[in-house]
Amino acid sequence: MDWFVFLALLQDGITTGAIYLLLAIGLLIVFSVTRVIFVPQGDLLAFGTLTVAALQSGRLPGTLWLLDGVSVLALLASLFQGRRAAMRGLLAWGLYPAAVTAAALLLAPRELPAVSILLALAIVTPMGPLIWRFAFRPVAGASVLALLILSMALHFVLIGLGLVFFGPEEASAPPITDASFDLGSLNVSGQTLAVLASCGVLVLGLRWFFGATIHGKALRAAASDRLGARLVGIDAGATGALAFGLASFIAALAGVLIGAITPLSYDAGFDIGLKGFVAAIMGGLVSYPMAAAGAVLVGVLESLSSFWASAYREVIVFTLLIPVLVWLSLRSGSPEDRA
Amino acid sequence: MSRIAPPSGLVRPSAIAAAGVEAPPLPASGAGLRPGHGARSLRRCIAPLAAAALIALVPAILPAFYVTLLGYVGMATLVALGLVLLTGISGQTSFGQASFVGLAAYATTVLTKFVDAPPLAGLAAGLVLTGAVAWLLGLVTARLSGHFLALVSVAWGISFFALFGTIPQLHGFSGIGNIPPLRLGPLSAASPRVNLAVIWAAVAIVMAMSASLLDSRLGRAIRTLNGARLMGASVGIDTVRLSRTVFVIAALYAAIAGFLFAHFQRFVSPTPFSLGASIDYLFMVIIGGAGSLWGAPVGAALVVVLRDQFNDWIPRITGQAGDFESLVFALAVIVLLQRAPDGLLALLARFRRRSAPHIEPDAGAPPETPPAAAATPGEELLSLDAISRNFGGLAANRDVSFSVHAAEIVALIGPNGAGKTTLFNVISGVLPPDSGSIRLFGAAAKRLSPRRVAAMGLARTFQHVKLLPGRSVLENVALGAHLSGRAGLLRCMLRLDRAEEARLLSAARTQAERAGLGGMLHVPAGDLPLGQQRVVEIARALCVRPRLLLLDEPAAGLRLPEKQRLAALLRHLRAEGIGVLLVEHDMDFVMQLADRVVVMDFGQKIAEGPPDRVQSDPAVMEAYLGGVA
Amino acid sequence: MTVPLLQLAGLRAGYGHVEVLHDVALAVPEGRMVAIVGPNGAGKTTLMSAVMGLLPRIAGTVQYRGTPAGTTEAMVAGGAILVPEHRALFADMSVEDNLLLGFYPRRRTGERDARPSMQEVFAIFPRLAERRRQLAATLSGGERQMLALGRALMGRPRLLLLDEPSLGLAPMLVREIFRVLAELRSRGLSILLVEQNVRAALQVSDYGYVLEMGEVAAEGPSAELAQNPRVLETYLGQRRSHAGQ
Repeated sequence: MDWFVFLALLQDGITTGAIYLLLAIGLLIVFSVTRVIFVPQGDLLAFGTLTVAALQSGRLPGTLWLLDGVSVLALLASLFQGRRAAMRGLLAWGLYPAAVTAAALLLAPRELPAVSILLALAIVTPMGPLIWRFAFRPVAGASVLALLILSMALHFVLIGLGLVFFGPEEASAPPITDASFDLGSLNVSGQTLAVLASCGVLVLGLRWFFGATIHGKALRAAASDRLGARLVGIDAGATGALAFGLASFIAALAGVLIGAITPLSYDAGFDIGLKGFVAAIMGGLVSYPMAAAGAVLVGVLESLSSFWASAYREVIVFTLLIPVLVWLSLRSGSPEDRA
Repeated sequence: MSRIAPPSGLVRPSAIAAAGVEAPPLPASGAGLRPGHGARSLRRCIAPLAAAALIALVPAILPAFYVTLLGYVGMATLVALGLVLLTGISGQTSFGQASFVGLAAYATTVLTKFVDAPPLAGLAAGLVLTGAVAWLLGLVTARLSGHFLALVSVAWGISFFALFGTIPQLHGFSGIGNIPPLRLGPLSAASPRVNLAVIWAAVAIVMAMSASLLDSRLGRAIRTLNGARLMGASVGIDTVRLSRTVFVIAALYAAIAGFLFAHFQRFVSPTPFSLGASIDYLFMVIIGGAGSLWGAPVGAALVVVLRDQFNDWIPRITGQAGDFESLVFALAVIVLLQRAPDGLLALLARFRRRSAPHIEPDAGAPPETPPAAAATPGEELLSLDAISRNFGGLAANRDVSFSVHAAEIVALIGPNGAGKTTLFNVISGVLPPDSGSIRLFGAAAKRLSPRRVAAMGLARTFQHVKLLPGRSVLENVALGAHLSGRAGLLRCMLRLDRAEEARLLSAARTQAERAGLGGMLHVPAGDLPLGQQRVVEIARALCVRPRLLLLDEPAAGLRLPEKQRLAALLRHLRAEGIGVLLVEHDMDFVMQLADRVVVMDFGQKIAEGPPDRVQSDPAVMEAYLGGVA
Repeated sequence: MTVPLLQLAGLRAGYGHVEVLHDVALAVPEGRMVAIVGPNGAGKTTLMSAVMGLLPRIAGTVQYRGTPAGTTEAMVAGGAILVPEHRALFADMSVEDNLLLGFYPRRRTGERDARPSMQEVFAIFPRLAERRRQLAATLSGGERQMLALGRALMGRPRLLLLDEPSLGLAPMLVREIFRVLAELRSRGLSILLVEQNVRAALQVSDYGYVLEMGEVAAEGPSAELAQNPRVLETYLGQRRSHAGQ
C-alpha cells in the first residue's frame, strides 16, 4: 500500500473518528448525569441524516410529525403540573414545535441546504428531552442494567419508526461545501474539514458551556454528586432533559455532517452509535480525552480494515478491540475498589 | 434484527382431534404419600412428578401450533436460565448468548448432516465446542467490570454472527436444511410433539440443577459476585474462577438450546443467532425478573408469545408498510419495564406481603463450642511494622506499628477519618501498603490477597455492612463456612452435597446462636436493624474458624443488653485463644473489654497501652474525646 | 409563643423495612442553635435526612415554618440547607464553582449576582479565598468542611442543618468551625446541629437533645445538659467502675 492511499485512509479514519468522538461526548454527558447508556443516540444520528435529506428533496419528514405528536403529549402532561411547568410546557412543547412545523411547511419546498440543515437540527434535537421525559425519567432510579435494556428497547422503537418514515433506502445529506483542496498529492475534501471544524467548535462550545455558564455548571454538579446537587436545589428532571438535549443535538449534527460523506439508511445509526460507545468506554465512561483517543483509534482501525478486508471489517474492528478493552478494564480496577 | 420465531411456513391446523388421546398414566403411588411423612418430603416428590406428568401429557393434547410455540418458549427458557445465573445472580451482563446457541446448533448440524453422526454426538460436540470457547472468553471477561464486559460480549456476538454468515461450509444466509431429527437408537423424535417433550424435559432438568446449585454452598458464593465480591474474597471465595464458571455454565445452557433448536426446526441459518436475538434473551430475563429462576420461563413465554402474536396480528391491521411488529414489541417492553423495573415476578411478589420479621431476643449463655485449633499462648498473630498508605496525597496511614497476640483483645480507637478502616484493609489484603511490612501468623504477608489471608485464618467484618440482604441470616452466616466445604459444581447441581451442606448449615447455626441470632435465623438479613446486621457479619466471621478476628465497629447500633452479649462472646473467644483486633467508638465497651488500646489520629499511632493508661493520657483525651476549651 | 422554625412530633423514619427513629420530638426556635448528640448508630443522620425529605417519613409530623415539610426541593426552596455528613461537595469543580452553586437556589427569586455573598463567605473563611481556583478534591479535610459550610451559607439559609461538622477534623479546626457557628448564631441564623463531639456541641448551642437508639433519651438547655453526669459518663467514656455489667 502506498503512502498516498494510507493518507487518504487516515483522513477517512480521522473524519469518522471525529464523529465517533461527538457521539462519545453525548453518551458521556447523558451517562454521567442519569446513568443511562443512550443507545438510541446512533438512531438519532440516522434521523438527522434522513430528515435533512427529506427536506432537501422538498418533502416533509416523518420526524416532523413525530415531534408534533409527542410534543402534544408533553404539553398535556405539563399542564397538570402546576403553573410554572405549564408555562414552560407551552413554550417548549407548544410554541416551539408549531414554529418549526410552520417553517418547514413554508421553506422546505425551496430546498435550500442551509435551511434544511437548520430545520433538521431543530426537529431532531427535541427528541432527546422527550425520550428522557417519557421513557427514562419515570424509572430514573432503576438499576443500570434495567436502564440499559430500556435503552435497547427504545432503539428498536426508533428504527421501527425510521423504517416507516423513511423507507429502507439510503439517503445523503447535502454537503456543507463542495470545495476540496489539494495538500501535496492528498485530496482533502471540504466536507472533511467541515466535520473536523464542527467537531472542534462543538467541543470548544461545550467547554465554554460547562465552564462558564451556571446551567453548564449545574449539569456538571449533577454528574459530580447527585446528593449535593439536590441539596443546592438543582432539579434532577431538568438536568436530565438538558443532558439528553445536548446528546440529541450532537447526534443530529453528526448525522447532518457524516451524511454528506456516507449515505445512511434508517438502521445504519446503531453501528455508528456502537462505535461511539466503544470510544466512550475507552475513556472509562468518565474521561473525555481518553474517549477522543479511543474514537480516533476506532475510526482509523475501521478505515484501514475496510481497505484490506472489507467483508470482515466489523469482525476485525471488534476483535481487535477486545484486548484493548480488557487492558483498560484491568487498569481501572474492580468497581468495588471505588466503593 | 431477528429473534427466535417460528419459520414463516408454519402450518396452523384447524383442529386436532382430542378424542382418541389416552388418559395419561397416574404417577406411581407410594413415595411421598405414605402417612406420617413430613410435608416437605411430600412437596419434594410432587413437584418432579407433576412436572413429569405435564411433560408427558401436554404435548400429546395441544394443537400443533402451540406445540411449536411452546417448543420455542422451552428453548428460549434454557438460554434465559443461563442468563438468570449469569446476569441476574452473578451480575455479569452478556449480549452474546445467541452466539453460543449458534455454535452448538452449527456443530450438531455439521456432525449429523454431513458426517452422519448420531445426534448425541452432535450434542457432545456442541457442548465441548461452546464450553471451550466460553472458557477462553471467560479468561478474558472474568476480570472485566460491568460495561467493559457488556461491550466485549457485543463484540464477540457481532464477530460470531459474521463468522456464521461468511464461512462457506455453513452455507451463509441461505442456511442448511434437512437436518436429521433427534433419535436415540430406535426411538425417533421426528414428531414435533415428542421433540417438545424432550425440550421441556431438558428445561425441567436444567432448572432443577440450577435450583440445586443456587441452594448450595456454591450458590451462596455465586450470589456474592454481584456487588459483594470483597466480602466473598474475605471468606475465601475465588471470585474470578467462580465468575468464569458461571459464565461457562450459561454458555452450556445456551448450547443445549442450540442443539435442540437445530433438530427441532431442522434448519439453521445465522439469523436466529444475531445480536438482536441476544438482546431478546436479555429482554426475557429482565421482564421476567432476573433475580429468580422462574423469571426465565415467565419472561421467555411472554416474549415469544408477544412476538408471535404481534407478527400475526399487526401486519393484518397495518398492511405491509413497515416493520411494525418489532416496533410494537419494543413499546410493549418499554411499558412493561416502566411498570415493573425489577421484573414481573418481583411485582407479583409484592402482592404477597412479607409479615414483619419475628425477632426473639436470645437469652442465656452462648452454647459451648469446641475450641479452635489450639493456639500457643502469647503467640504473635499479627505484627505491623511502619505501615504507610497514601490516598491521592492524603496520608491515610503513617508509620503505624503494633502487634496482636493470641488470646488477646486489642482495640483500635481514634476519631473518624483517623485511618482505622484503611489499616484494616491493608491487614486483610484488600489494599497493599505503600511501605512497611506485615507478618501474619508468622509469615510475611505484604501482598497476599484477601482470599489467601482468609484461608490462613483471618476473618473480618466491614465498616459498611456487606451482606446479601435478600438471603436469610443463616445463609449469610453460612458464607463464612465456605472454605470448610468441598462440594464442587457437579455435586452441588446434582444435590449430592446434602450431607456436607447440612454440616455447614449446622455450623452456621451454632455460630449464629453464639452471637445471639438464634431467634432470627430465617429472617432476610436486610430486614434487620443495622446493629443486628453487624452481628450477622460477626457470626459469619466466626464461621471461618479464624485465629485472628478483625471487627470494624461491631457494637455500633446495639442496645446495652446486646452489647453485653457481644462483650461476653468476645471474652469467650479470647479464652479460646483467638486474637481480636477491633475498631470501636463506644468507649465504655472498649475500656472494659480490651487488654490493650491503640489510639490513632490523622493516620498515626499516638498512644498504646492498657485502657486505664490510655484513658488518662492527655494527648488522647484532647484528640479523640473532643474538646473546645 | 412564636411557632418554632422547625418542629418534629412523633417522628418515625427508617430505611426500607428497618425503622431507625422511633417517636422523636424536638423543636428549633427561630434564631437558636439546637444540638443533637448521641453515639454512632443512634439515628442522627437518619433524622436529618427525614427532616430534609431525603427519606420517607413513616409517621409523625415535621413542621417547617409552620407548615408540613415537603420534598427536599421544597425544603431547599424554603431556605432549609443541609450540610450532609460526607459533605457532598462537587469534587471535580473548583472552590469558586462550588460556592457559586450554593447560590443556585436563590436564582428562583430572580437574584443573579453571587459576588456579595461570595465575599462574605471569603471573609469568614479566608483560606477558601486563597484556594478559590483549586479543585475541591485537592482540599484538606478541614478546608472541605469550610467549603461545605460556605456553600450552604451562599444559599442564605433560614435554617442551617449540619451533620457532624467536626467529623475528621483536628481539634484546632473543630475550634474554628464552632467559633464560626457561634458567630453565625449570634447573627440570628437558626441552626440544627448533629454531633458526636458532645463537649463542643453543648458548649456552643442553646438547647440539646440526646438521641439514643432512635429515641430522645434526654433534653434540656445545653449548659445544664453538659453538666448532666449521665451524659458525661455515657458519651465521654469516663466511667471507671464496672458495676452492673
